[in-house]
Amino acid sequence: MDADRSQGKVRIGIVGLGRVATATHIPVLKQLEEVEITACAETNKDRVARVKEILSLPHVFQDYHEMYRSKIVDAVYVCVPPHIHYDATISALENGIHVLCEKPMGRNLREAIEMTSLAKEKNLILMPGFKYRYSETIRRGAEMIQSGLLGKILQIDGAFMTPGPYISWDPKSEWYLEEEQGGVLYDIGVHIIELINSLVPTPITRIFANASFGYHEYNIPTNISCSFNMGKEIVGTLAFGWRLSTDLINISVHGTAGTVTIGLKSFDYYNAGTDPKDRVFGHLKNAFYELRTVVNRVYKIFRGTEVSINDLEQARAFVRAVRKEVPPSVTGEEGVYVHNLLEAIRRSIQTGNHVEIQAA
Amino acid sequence: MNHPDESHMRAKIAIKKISDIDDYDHIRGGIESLLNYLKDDFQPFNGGTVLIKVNLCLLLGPETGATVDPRVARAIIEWLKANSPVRKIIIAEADATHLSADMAFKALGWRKYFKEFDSDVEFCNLSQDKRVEAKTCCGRNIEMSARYMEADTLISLAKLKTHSLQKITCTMKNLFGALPEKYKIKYHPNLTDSICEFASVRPPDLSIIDGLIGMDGKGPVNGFPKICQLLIAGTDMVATDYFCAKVMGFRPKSVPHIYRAIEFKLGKSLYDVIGDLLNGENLKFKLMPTWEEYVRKSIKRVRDRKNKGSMGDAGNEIWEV
Repeated sequence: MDADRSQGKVRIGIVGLGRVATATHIPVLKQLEEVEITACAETNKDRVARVKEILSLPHVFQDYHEMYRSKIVDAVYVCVPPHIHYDATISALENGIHVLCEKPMGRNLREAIEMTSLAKEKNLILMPGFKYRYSETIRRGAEMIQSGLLGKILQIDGAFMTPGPYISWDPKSEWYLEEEQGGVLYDIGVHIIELINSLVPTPITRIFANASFGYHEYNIPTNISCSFNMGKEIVGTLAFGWRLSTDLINISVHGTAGTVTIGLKSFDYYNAGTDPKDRVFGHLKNAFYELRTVVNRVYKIFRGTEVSINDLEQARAFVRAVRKEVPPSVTGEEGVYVHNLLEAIRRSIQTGNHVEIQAA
Repeated sequence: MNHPDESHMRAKIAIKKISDIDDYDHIRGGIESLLNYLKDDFQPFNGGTVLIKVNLCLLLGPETGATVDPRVARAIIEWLKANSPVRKIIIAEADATHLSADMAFKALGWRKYFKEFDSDVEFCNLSQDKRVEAKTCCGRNIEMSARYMEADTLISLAKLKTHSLQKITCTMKNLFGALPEKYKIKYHPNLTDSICEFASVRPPDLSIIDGLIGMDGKGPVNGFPKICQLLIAGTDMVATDYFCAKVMGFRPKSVPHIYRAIEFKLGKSLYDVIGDLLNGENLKFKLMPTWEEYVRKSIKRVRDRKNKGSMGDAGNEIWEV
């Protein structure tokens, strides 16, 4: 298969036609001129019947292995539930197909390592679906931290709170409450860990976690708080939860020269010595940024092209990496790092002790 | 203009203010008062089956205002057991688009909470039950759960909360949730008529509204809990919803499915209220659509007007309060 298609369109296949594919990835990919969705794979015939016409989908295979063998895709989006991520990804890589794998990248560290090793061995792109890092505020934050404006980073606090996976999400998402899926940890814990890693790429070396199990008769954590160390100098906290009437991401990075607080739609920089007029200027900049976001959104609603910027940027990054124009913006190794940490948090919850983290 | 149902008799609505919603005895006392107020109109079938259709469409507890409080269901069951020789009590819910009823019964602790009632209280997932045909008010045949249709007494236990499309969710919207199909969201483009149709196949013998903690703002999912300390009951589903809309501070006829239900003659809009009168005050529930929804709806309204020369689907306007 011609993986290096720097001229023609990248032929993309979609594995799984659930909510994340039909509501997010397919509409996004259809906006990219350099992409052609050439095939999909879905086992649920009712679902295929429901969405095929609406989304003008091309050939839909019942089995993704068949789609891989058909040689009509250069890259795939793996959008099936997590317990199928490993097989769908490994099989694609073995067939010489690049993969964007929805988070979490496999069920456990072992699977993530195997997927990453195979991608490396085959010289193929494997990108975990860490879409939030493409949001403008996170990118601004990362730039600010990397420029040294915050001085030496000493402390980080990250929180991601949602009502839960069952709201506005895949109608078939009962699997979210299965014990092996890891509850809130493998749902949004993945995101907050990868976001902190994208802002401050220093590995977490020690972690302690507390959890509550808020659903009766389901042994899955619903609310988790952690404290961690990044080497000897940086300490921090992580908090993520379901069952909350909110949808909030909030990360504060505190350095010797200032603090930056980042939400998905907000961005604030504080420094004790900041001149009041600079603060006003900062607020005006934020207001301008918010206004621009609103205007963009209105324009998109008007044009009927409402897609998430994060997903669009993620798709662009993936396609450009497949075309070998740029290196992948997220690597399989980062997926492995996240899994390593998730397993440490799980161990800490089970044992009630701190867990030292060795590089995987 | 005279209302079509003005010549008919008036419905009876009972309302009770609960002074301490943390104390189960107060809730049980409230339910007892409501059912005593309505005892001339509501008597469960002697020796029959009572099915209580609850609203558990999300995995959020009653403290969020999203789902009904199991303590209210318990108070109803205790009243039934003490006052009426019912054979069996069934707590029922169908799969929602985003959630299976079995999972909701378990995860929200309902099964555990009612364990002591043993076989006297059963749980039923209406989506998994045997189906029977039922006729809607529009003459359409649809499939409903056999146990739902065949229960001797049907009680709707709904929530006092806002709905971004319909303004309120109370009895009729709760009965829409009894449809065994999981993908109910497919009815949302024509939600007003769908609510009336599905509610009409089996109007409840008693409608109880759990307004201990209601939901304000962007309901029925993402709103704010609003402590109202109210329990409301009625035997006419339309009158009960009409009254609830008023209590919440909405003009009842601006609630699309109430207006349509009156047109379909599914119930009354005239009623007498007994119990703790609210002295004309309303609880001023607020609808809080996001600016994006406002823009989306405004654009849709303009396009509809341009395309059809009409006001579009005025029934689904959510701005007029």
